[in-house]
Amino acid sequence: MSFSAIRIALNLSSRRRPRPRRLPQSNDCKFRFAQLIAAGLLFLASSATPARSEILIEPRVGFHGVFQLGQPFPLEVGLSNTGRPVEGILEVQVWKGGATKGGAPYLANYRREIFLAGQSRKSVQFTVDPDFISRPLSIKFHAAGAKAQREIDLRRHFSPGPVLLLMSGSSAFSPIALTALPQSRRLVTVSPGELAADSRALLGVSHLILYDQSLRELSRAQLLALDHWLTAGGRMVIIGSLNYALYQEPALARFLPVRVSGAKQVSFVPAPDKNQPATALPGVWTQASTVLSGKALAEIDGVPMLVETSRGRGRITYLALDIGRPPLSKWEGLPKFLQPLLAPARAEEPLPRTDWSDAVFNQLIASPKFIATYVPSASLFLAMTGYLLGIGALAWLWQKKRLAPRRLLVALVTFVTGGTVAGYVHFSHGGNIPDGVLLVSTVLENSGEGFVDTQANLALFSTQLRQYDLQLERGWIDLTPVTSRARDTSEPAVITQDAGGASRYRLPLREWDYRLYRLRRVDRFGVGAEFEAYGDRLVMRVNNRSGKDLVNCWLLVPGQRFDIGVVPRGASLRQVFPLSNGQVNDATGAARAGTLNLREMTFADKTRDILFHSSMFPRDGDARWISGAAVFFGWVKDPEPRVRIDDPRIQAQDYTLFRAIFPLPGEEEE
Amino acid sequence: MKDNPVWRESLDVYFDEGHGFAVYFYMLVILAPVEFLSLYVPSLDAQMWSGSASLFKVSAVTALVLMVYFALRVANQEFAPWRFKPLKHWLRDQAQPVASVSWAQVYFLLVHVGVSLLLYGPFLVWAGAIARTPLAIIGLTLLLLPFYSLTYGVWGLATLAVWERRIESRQVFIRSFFVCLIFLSALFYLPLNPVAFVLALLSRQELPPLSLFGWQWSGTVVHLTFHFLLGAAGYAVHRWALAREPLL
Repeated sequence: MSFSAIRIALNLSSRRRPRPRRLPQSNDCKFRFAQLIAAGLLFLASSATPARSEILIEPRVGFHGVFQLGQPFPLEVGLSNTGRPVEGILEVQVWKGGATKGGAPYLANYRREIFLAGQSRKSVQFTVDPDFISRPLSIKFHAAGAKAQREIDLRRHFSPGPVLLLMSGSSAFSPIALTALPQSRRLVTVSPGELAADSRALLGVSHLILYDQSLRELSRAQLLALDHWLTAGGRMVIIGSLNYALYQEPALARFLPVRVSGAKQVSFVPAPDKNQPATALPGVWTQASTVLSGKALAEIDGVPMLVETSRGRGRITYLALDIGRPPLSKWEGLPKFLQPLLAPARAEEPLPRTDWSDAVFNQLIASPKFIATYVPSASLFLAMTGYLLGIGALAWLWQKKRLAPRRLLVALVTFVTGGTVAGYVHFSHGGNIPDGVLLVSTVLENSGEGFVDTQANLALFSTQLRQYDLQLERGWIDLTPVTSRARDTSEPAVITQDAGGASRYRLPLREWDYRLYRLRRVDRFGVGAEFEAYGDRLVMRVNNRSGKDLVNCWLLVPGQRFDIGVVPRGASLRQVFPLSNGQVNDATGAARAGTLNLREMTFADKTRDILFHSSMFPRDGDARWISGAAVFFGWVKDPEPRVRIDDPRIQAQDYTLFRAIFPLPGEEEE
Repeated sequence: MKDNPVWRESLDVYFDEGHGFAVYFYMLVILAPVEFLSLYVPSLDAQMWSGSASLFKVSAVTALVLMVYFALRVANQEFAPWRFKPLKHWLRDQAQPVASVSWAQVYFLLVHVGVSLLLYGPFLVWAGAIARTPLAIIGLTLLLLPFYSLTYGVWGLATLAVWERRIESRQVFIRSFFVCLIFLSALFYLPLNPVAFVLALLSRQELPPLSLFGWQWSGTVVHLTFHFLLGAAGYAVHRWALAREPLL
């Protein structure tokens, strides 16, 4: 810009200049000197104009400035470029770890490569997850010739309780009807475009309320994010409206537990208050529908009025009444009527945790089978044996004087040198030695209705100094490092998020270094296990509608274990097992309190053995199976990877176990 | 050197008659299992795990200890001692000059160290490749091994020349010398110890400096100077003892 400006300016100045006359020599010098000064001043003036791109950062935190403390939240970064086109990196730095996580604080970088056209604006969405907010969040844009930075104090934006989102396509609907909420819970009205495309950004949202809202505008990533948020425990409240056609659109219908067929006016009789007579509200608009899934909790004139269904850990509630139109919109009792729909979810019993620590990893790496995955121990053994035999043979030839000493010396040097070089090439570049090994140990906890709670434990270890790109499957809830190795590395982990909500973790690892992580998600998995206890019998039904076979399946009950074998895909199984009510006769004939024989379980694969006993069913395990329960488990054959590294130099190992735990009734309960 | 009778005698006893093969057999038979089994040693420190990560370290340190120990014993003529003629025979009866006898013994020590290194080469290079050790570090380690073997080995020659007729005294001295300098020296000042130096080199760590009379000396400089002086002292004692021999 500056050079072209100078050129134009010089051209203009030369055009304006009168045709030079022949001047005396001294005047000619003065004129040239003045010309130089003028050109210099012009250059300085032109360089004072903006030669660089000027970037302005405008962040928008959470949902209209609100997010729930301790949960991930969306961060929208608006970038305005008032200069040249520029390509650079947008980086968001948040603080992780700290006292709440029991480690030293460390930085996590969220990064995205951005191209900004000249004189343009762009909006970039991130999902950030700081562990503490006493230190500011920092946003940086850096490129050649452009730099901008902004810091945000997150303490101004947090809410101690979860956020409720309202999406309403009708201006007639007033959110005042929903204001009967405790102060810790904030209600925010959002448009479909503002909904995050990453399910993790919605984890701080307890309820999403939809009224008269078309979801056609939502992208596939946004719909997927809603789906994952629901299965992870989100609550969706869909309120019917006169515009019933909106509820027949596939984007919204996929969430509805009913099939909406029309609308009609009914007389609504709300539940009366104490000592108050019931008064009917005539002319209330309601949607006519038939129930597809879930349970109709209330009906009005033969049509379902309130239907509830679950999806994974989440719940969808459908209210057929149009509360945005009179007479209900003017009804005083409406906030109280809606209050139960927006009640916070009951705290569910936490799932049995798997153990994942340095101690477990120590056992894994010490097992010879595991060592063989990253060290060519077999070829090293062969090479050593061959070398010793070769040296022995040469020594024997020497002593027997079969060959001339000079020849034998040449043979010895050639043998040793050749062996050294060949071995070096084989062991450093060949021999299928991976640069690293990614081990994922997953437990799929049966949640019923085709959903499982997934706890995946990751170990990534490296035989090289290099970067690793972990690609996480969409829908994960939480990825936490087990050991605070971040403090030992000079370079922090970089998280790259694309516009669709997918995340990649870039981790730098040294030679023979490792990192451990825990990952959580709620997932669809077509295996269901149901139990019914009848006195001294236990009926177990296993239905495998997944695309994977379950192998090495066992049922453990106190004092006994039963080998189920394989449950192939598509198969259903119903078996009755004897129960000894927690008593089992030992060799002496005396009855002793039965316990699960978890310690006696062994598998042909040593790695499975270690994972089963140390991680999936640790010795100081959950009270549920210690105090007496039926446990069904099976290993998933060829499981789908939940974390990928697209690099053939990194070996991936996946171990997935499906389990269902059924607490057996004690004697007192019986 | 080709016609030097002392040199010819050593070559004949060790290689022609094969008495030296036992030395190389022991060396290989000890290093090979140590290297292979160290892959399966279950140990995990706070930062990194051992096993394959420490394969080169373990192999290099074992090789260092073995090479130094056997260099001392070979120089001290502990293998087939009855096959070697006494120094008095060469110096007095055969009228060999002291320098000639000395150089023959030093050259033979060099040959032994060279053969040891040649035989250990593949094991060390393979271990380095598996442990992802840079080639420069492997090369440096392969230079340090003969350096230590010679530095300590000349003391075997010195012992032989000083106490030739007292074989038990020589053996006791050699073993005490070896234990003190290879192991116990670490208790007094770590940078003097060759094992500590090799481990520091392989871990790319700096050795602690030595503060003396207000001056600070780098650990590496102290280590190398000490070993050069040690080797030179050993050679000086060896020459002195040989020169003393005709007077006895």
